[in-house]
Amino acid sequence: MLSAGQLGIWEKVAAATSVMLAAAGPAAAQTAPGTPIDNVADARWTAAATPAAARSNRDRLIVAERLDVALAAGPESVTGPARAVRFVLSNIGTGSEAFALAATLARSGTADLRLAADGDGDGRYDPARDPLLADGQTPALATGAALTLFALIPAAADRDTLSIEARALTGSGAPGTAFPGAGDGGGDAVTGATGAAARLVLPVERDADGPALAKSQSVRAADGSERAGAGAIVTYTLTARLAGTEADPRVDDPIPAGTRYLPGSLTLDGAPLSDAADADAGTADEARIDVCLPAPAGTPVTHTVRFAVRIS
Amino acid sequence: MRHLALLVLAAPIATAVAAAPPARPLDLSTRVLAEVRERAADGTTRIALAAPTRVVPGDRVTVMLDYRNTGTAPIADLVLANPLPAGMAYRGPAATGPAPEVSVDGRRYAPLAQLTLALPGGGSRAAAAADVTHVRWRLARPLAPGTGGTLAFTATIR
Repeated sequence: MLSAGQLGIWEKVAAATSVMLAAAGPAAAQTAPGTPIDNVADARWTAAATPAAARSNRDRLIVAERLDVALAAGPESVTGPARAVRFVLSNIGTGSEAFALAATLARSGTADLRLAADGDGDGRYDPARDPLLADGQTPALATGAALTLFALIPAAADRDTLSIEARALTGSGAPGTAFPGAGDGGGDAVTGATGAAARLVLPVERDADGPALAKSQSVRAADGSERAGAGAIVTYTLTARLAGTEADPRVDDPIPAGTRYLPGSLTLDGAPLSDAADADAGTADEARIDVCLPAPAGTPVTHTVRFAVRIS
Repeated sequence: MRHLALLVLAAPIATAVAAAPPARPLDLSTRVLAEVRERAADGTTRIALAAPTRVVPGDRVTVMLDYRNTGTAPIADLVLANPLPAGMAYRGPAATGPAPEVSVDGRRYAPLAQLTLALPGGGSRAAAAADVTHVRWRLARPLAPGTGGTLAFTATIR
């Protein structure tokens, strides 16, 4: 079940998907599943010096839907305490198809990781704009369409192996497995070379030593749920890890488009900071937050900046 | 020249046949079958023909024409033709039987190697199998009563 806000985001998913298709260039036109192909032959001859003709029966076949799927690792992964590992699912079958996804961390044994679609198509995970997949299922993707997704890795995961599996909702199985009447347009659906299933295994690395800034977020809607609809509050947590030698460390972050800063929500290590540019370490306005961190005293230290926005 | 005259006359004749069907001396039927790979017990693979229930783009099919003289007189100058339906691309003759003449415009028939296709910007290029719009066979001898045969070509689902 999708909320109205999520539906809006899915429309953006569809728009972004078609843009990707255009960028990939025109695919060879394939006959759509469910299309009837009718063959009729004819004959002409001479009978008693007079031309005659006859026509055959009409033999009809219905083009079946081929089910195929591919998974690929994203160009890069976003690391940090709440890591969003990016990957791309492509519908390489011939019909419109939705896919079921499951993500597991092998070492920690964590199954059913949360997955989100890149709703705004910017390639970065943002809970205000990238909806979680309901029941781990993608929306229906047109043939040839690709959808960027994120697997949300729990903060505790460290040096683990992420395994992602995708299956066509219509069905999967050894190549050639048929699902009578289940194809687009009323024909059969049949698995192609991929068996309508794909698996992607990715290493999850621990953050490298040295300064690092990680961003995570949580969503709270008026009804207490985590639905990222209009009016929901998104709290961002920026964790800055300093090696100990940095001078004038500073964190600044733009307020995401489509959201408004929640006045008075800025904190540093749990202590409130006023929004105004005054004696304290931080400022915040409609455009960005900016916080000067205490200079480290030669040893590694971590500081946490939090602020909240309301989805417009 | 004789075949050309036949073709010109064909359209009105076909209409007349449809309006008042006479006793048909020629029985003509078509079947489209899917090529499926079957693995034998000895590990070899062979191509078998099956009902086309699970055909997807890229799959190969064989189009068969069965004809028979069901009348009492020989049928002379018999021409059997098959326009390629939308969604099907001509691939070539079937493994057995005579190869058809082919056409890329429904008017001029020849072996594929002799056909060219006009290009939009002028000039022309050699026709490819996928350009074929019609195939036909001309029977050299009159078809005697009670006799018939099967003709076939192969195609790919677009």
